Amino acid sequence: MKFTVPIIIFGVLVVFLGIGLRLDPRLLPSPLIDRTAPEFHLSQLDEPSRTFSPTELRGQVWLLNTWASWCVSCRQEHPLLLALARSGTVPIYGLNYKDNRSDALQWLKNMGNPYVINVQDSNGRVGMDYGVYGVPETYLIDKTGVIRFKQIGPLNVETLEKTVMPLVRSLNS
Amino acid sequence: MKSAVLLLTLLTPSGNDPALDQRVLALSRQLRCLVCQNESLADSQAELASDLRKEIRQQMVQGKNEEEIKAFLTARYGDFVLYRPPLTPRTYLLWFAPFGVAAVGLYAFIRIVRTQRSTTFSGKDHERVETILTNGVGTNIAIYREQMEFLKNEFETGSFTREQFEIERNELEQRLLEECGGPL
Repeated sequence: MKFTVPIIIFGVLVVFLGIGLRLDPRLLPSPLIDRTAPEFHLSQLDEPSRTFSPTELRGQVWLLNTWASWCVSCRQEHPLLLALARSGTVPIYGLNYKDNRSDALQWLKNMGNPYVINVQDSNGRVGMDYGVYGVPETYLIDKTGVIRFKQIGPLNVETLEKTVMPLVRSLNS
Repeated sequence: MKSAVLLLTLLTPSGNDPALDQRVLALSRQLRCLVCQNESLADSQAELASDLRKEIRQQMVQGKNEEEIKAFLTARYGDFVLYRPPLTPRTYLLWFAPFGVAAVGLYAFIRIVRTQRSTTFSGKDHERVETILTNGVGTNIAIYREQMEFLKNEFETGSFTREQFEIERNELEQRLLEECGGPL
C-alpha cells in the first residue's frame, strides 16, 4: 500500500516511454496538408524549353513525387510507382529534386518512367516550398489543387492500399 | 561543435558582411535541421541545411526580419524547425507541465516536512519518557537510563552543543518510546 503512488507513477512513465519508442521521429506532420499546393513554373526534364505548373492540373487528382537519381530510397520505391502508373488509377508527376539533368534522364531510361511529366528543380527551391527534407516524398493533390496527403520516404504497398487509393477514389467521386 | 561552426564559416559564401554573417548564424542556431534532427541549422552539414542557410541569408538581405523568416520556415516544415516551440493550445502541455510537476513536488515536500514535524517531540513526550525512565523496570529501560545519563553528562561538561544534545536525546527517546512506550 505504501508503494501504490510510486508504482502508479512508474507505470505512467513506462507507458509514455513505450509510446515514445514506437514513434518515428523522422515522420513530421506537414503543415502543407489541406493547403493549396505551392505554385511553380519549372522546365520539363524531357524538353527544358517547355514548362509545367500545378495549376494546369486543376480538376484532376494527381500525385507529385519528388525524386533524384542520387536517392537510394527512390530505387526501392520505383517498382511501385511503375505498377501504379501502369494501373492508370492516378497520374504521377515528378519533381526531379537537386539533380543533374543527364543523370536523371539516364536513370529513367534504366529504371523505367512512371511519370506523365517531370520537372527539374535543380537548386531545390521548389522543394523548399513543399517542405521536402528527405526524398522521396509524395503529395496527393486534389481537384482544387489542395494537398490532401503527404508520404515522407518511399511509398509502400500498405500505405498505397490503405491510405492513398481510398483517398484517390473518394476525391475522384 | 566549434569546428563545425568554423567549417560552416569556411563553406558558406560569406561576401564581406560579418554583421550579416553573425545574424544568419544567430538565427540558424535557433532552428533545427530536419535531416539531422539533433543538430541546429548552424551546425548541420546536411545539404538542406546549407540551402536553408543560404535562403535565410538571402531573405535577410531582402530586409526580412527574424519573425518573417521563421514564419517562412514553419509554413513549410512545421513548428518542428523551431527549437523553442510557440505557445499554442497544442503546446500548452509542453510549456506548462513542468510547472505542474514542480507544484506536485512542492506539495509532496511540504507534506513530508509537516508529517515529520508532527512526529518530532513535544514537551509531553519528554514527560512520558521521564516517567518511563523513573518508574520503569527491566534491563532495556536500565540501559536507556544509562544512555540518557551519559548524554546529559556530555552536554553539561560541554562535549555536546545544545543542538547535538537535542538531536541525540530525541533519537534516544524515540527509540525508547517505540520499544517500551506503546503506540505514540
